[in-house]
Amino acid sequence: MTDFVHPFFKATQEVFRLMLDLDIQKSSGEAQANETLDKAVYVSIGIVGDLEGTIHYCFPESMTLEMVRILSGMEMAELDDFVASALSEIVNIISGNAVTDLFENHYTCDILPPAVEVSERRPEWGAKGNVLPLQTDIGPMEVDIRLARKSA
Amino acid sequence: MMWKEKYTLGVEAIDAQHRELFERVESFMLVLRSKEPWDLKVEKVKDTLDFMKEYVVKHFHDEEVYQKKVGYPDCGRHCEIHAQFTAEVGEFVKLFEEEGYQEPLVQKFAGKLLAWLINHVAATDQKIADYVHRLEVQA
Repeated sequence: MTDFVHPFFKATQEVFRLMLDLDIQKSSGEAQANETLDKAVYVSIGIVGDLEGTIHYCFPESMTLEMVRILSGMEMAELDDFVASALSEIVNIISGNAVTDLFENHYTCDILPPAVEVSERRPEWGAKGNVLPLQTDIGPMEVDIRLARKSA
Repeated sequence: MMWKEKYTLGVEAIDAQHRELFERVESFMLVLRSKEPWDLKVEKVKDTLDFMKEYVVKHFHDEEVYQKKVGYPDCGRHCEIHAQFTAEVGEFVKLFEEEGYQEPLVQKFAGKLLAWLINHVAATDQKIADYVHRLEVQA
């Protein structure tokens, strides 16, 4: 059975390394529960094709601002249109790379445009999916992979 | 500073264009992110966007010519990525022309441009350098 989680871990790891010079490790998930309780940025991206569903990425506010600071070399004070758009594009790149990996496992899929939501409270998270808790030097993040084979 | 030495491909003409692109994008962002009122910075934003439209097309063209010259096997896919991004920039430009240069839309464009450019140069273009390096090792 194909592991649908690993391509997203691999793609996230690669994109963080190349774009942000950051290593990513899998974590237990306990550490991030508190950080993602505060204001966090949720980016959701739909997948269509042989597999269907949505991938949700959750980044704490402070981590999001730091990611865009690393990219731009400029301090970011708030989650505005510029920051949200840069983060969306990073998620777009990660998801696109993961879909390329899935293609090598004979699943032909495409990604839909990402949607960004800033939430003060942690929404119901991972109830139906495979949550991948990750840790970086600038904070924790989570990827919730909700994918299923398209029904015939 | 946006530019990092690790982005260097080792192809002088392409590296020079990448540096120029990064400098222009950085100066565009410094204006865009400044605290000045939008009315005072919109003309500078328009000028930079006009430059970028032409320069990105020229750069993509020159890079594609180089890929063909060295026989880069993934040239077709790379050209598709260029074409997709050019189309996305075109959609933004159309929106700017139809709806005016509204600050939220320009900020959104800039955020996308920043992340796209860094990924493209740090990941996608590096594959060309890796290919050329392999050729040199084999020679």
